[in-house]
Amino acid sequence: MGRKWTWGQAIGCLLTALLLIAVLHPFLWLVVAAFKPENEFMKYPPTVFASSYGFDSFIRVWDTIPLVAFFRNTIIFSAGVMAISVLLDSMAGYAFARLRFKGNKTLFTLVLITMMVPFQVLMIPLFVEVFKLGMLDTYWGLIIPRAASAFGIYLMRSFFISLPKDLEESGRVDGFNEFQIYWRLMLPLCKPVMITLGIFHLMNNWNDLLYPLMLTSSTEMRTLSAGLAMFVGQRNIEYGPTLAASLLALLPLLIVYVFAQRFFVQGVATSGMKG
Amino acid sequence: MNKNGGFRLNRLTNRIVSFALVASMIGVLSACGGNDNSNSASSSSSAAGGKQVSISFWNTFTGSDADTLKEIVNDYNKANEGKYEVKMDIMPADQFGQKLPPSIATGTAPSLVALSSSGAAAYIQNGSIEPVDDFYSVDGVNRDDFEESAVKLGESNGSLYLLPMQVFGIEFFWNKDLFKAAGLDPDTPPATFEQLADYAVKLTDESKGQYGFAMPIKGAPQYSLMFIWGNGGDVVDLASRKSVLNSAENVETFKWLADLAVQKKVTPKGLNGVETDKLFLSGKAAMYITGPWLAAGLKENNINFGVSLPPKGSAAQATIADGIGFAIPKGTSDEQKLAAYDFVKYWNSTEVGKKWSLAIGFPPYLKSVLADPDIQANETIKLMSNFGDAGRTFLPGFVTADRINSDVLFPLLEQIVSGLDPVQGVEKASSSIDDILKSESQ
Amino acid sequence: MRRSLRSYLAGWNRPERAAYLFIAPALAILLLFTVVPLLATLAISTMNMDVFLQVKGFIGLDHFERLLGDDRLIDAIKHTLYFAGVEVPLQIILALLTAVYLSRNTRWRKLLRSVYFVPSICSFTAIGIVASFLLDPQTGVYPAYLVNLGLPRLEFFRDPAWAMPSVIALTVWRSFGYSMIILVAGIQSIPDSYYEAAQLDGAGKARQLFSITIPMLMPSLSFCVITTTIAAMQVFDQIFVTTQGGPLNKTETIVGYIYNTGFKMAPYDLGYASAISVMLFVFIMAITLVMNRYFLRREADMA
Repeated sequence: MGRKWTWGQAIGCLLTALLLIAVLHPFLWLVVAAFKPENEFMKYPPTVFASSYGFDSFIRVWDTIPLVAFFRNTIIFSAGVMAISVLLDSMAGYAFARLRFKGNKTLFTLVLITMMVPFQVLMIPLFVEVFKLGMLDTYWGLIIPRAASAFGIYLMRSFFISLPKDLEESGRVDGFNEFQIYWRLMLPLCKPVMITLGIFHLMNNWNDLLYPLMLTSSTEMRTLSAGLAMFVGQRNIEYGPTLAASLLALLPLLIVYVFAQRFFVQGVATSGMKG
Repeated sequence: MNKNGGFRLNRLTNRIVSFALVASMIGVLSACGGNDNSNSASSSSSAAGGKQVSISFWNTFTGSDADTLKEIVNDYNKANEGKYEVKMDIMPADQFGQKLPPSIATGTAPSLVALSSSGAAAYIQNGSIEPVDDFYSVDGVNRDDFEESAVKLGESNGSLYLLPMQVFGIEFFWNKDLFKAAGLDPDTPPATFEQLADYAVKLTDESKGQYGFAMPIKGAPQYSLMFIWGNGGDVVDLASRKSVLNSAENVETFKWLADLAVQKKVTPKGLNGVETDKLFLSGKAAMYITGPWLAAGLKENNINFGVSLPPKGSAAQATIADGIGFAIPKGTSDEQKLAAYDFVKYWNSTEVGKKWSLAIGFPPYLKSVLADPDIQANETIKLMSNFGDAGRTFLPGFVTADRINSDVLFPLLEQIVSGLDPVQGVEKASSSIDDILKSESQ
Repeated sequence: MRRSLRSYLAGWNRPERAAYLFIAPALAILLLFTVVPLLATLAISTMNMDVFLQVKGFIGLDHFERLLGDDRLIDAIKHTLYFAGVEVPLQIILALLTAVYLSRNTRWRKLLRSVYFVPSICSFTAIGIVASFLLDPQTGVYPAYLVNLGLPRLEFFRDPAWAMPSVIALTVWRSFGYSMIILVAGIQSIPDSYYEAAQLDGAGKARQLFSITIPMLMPSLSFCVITTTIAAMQVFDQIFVTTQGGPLNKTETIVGYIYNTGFKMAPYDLGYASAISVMLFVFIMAITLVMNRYFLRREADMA
């Protein structure tokens, strides 16, 4: 409390606060709008605040789409991808970063190449492939094609690379095998980045529309994003329900993120070494 | 945080993370196991004994129309329990367009889809949807009850490919209150293009953010066709399949549109269809040419509006006749096809036709529905269902119709509205159309 | 039996062999579900083919010849480069500044990190609606703020000159939070001992930033730069929900053009769309290689 503020701190605080407003303002608008009655959106000129608020939009969402089933599908799909992909990405990233083997560079380039083609174009061949494998309209068919990602492998690699150089040696001295070195020594040091990657996979698949829609062929298998799209008609948009559904879809992710923040621990690398 | 706290947190972290990992894996495994057998693709889901035939039906009726559609399908399924079941899958138009073609190619398509008449051309041309002429010989289907124009909407090369689901013309809407405020007769829409221009100027008041005639530049019905056709012009010569957009009368038409937008400033610039609808629904646009879907929103927002055919040009009074039809994708079994026909028959019954028409405010195409007293009592629907011989189809049977519309005609309007010289614009657009037409198989 | 199994396993316990076990599962999935479709795309780019998967003939490099004279594509490339050239530096600089400032764990900073991250998890559909209301030239709140500040009323997405800057601002708004948390994770992985040593040497905050944080952060920073660039070269979603390529095509990007040619409406020219994708792919690869070489040299300099 009694600390003296330096100019730098004051400016930092001011700038972060400004940024806070810039980031938060549109989001708060979304939250307020989700509770507005639908005809408020047609007002001219539109106002930020409405004369009355209610849960009409949420009720409409509840009545129109099978919210529980969509949530279940979304969770299975995106959490499944997250769990498997974080594991496989970190394994591969570890090998590319810290193990010397023939073809390391070539294979890593191959991994990077998979990031460079726009997904829209790959979608049709992928669709045909998943169909040929008989996995269309199944959870596995949704999860497996996404169970490893170049982004994740690359991310994990860049973190494993920055870990202290003599870590493996200490593990080998302790009689660890290669997997134990990765699992017991390296992974615990990468917790923040694994969580970051997990969130990335979670939110990407959570919000994806085209991919889960292409690979499922029944309403029962659809995810939340498809439900959200139900309120955007070709001729008209139901603004309130769309925003309400977005808000509902966003909340679980936000909770997961706030919870995950607990695991961001300063200087894990050192505390891990000591532990 | 001190080192101790950090350490304890670390162990807790370990447990929570591994627990979460294991839990989600288990969740995934069990869910996958449970779902694999219960869910199969659209075809062949006939139950044991082969009694109930189940078909899937894909369409793009997102938005509020979906409510009525779902109700009708539910009613149908209840009435036909044990016999037929329609499983509907509604998806946004963009994803529908990406999903359906490869689905047909891999044999995973549904047995019934709803296609727009312009969008269907590509499917017809490469044999991806089946001819459906035999529908009209199904027991209980009375072809005479259909307006001939509705039946013809699905015709291509002498065969029928679409069965009517929704047929409509593009209409002229005006805001009666704004007419009154500007000293115009609220019950008489402009009769000619000159009058439309005259009214548009009188109805524009930029200080109030009020515009006389709304001209969207994308994502709307192609209203410029009313003016092109009305003045005796056309876009493509159907026989030679060459662009005639750069004809003298068309240049005059686009000069006139440019004058309205640029000099007379009767429209805001750069609006898309949804934004223009919003402008009209909020009472800030006085005249607007669009489809019958606007009517429901107008009533909801208590706008005092009138609807009629678009005004007359120097040569004719014209409007676009458009529609959405049922189609049967290639590879559908006969059993499934008959089930699909049964649903289409149900859809085209007087009772359902009336329900759909009243609920979403679209004009009926079944004579028996039109004769219904409830429909006759609905002024708006009655007005919209009567477009006589003014209705024309834009490039019937052309695979490139939608592309010419959205890649050439709307960009031309956009350029003109933002001040480009119409003569030059029309010339360039005309050669673009010829380029696109090269991909039409002759 | 047990012994031979054990010795067999021990054979795999050498780093140079174990590595293949580590990468095998991920690589198998990438090969099967990305590389195979990619090769298919490569094949399709030499054919006349539509989305109905009907091949109308092999045409070799004709599509690539067509690329050269396609004015609309050249415009799309310019717009994409404009987007990437402005968006990537903005996003990275903002993410780096906030990450450095917020990397320490206090309650307030954790809260800020959560808030900055919120836009990243919003769906694009919702973002499109929010933007359309807030930035509407006639009725939006932001144009009105500008006027109140004595600035001209901007038309944002509807002004050909301002549409791309608006899309860029929207993208930075949405994405910097994610780059930020990657960088925060990177900063937090830097051992405390480095800073302790620096403090003993009497290095100030600024010196610590430039002599410890940024050099130690190079791997994650280069990761952020390269992945953000790759994403920027493929920009599509945020444009699809706001300007749809307009006004006057000023925001049509390469992937937008690919979508328009191959998937949006008939004639669905999948062959040509694939050829453009292959071109984009070569483009991105060249950029990535140059960047990667630069960053590797920086890393080597530091070691």
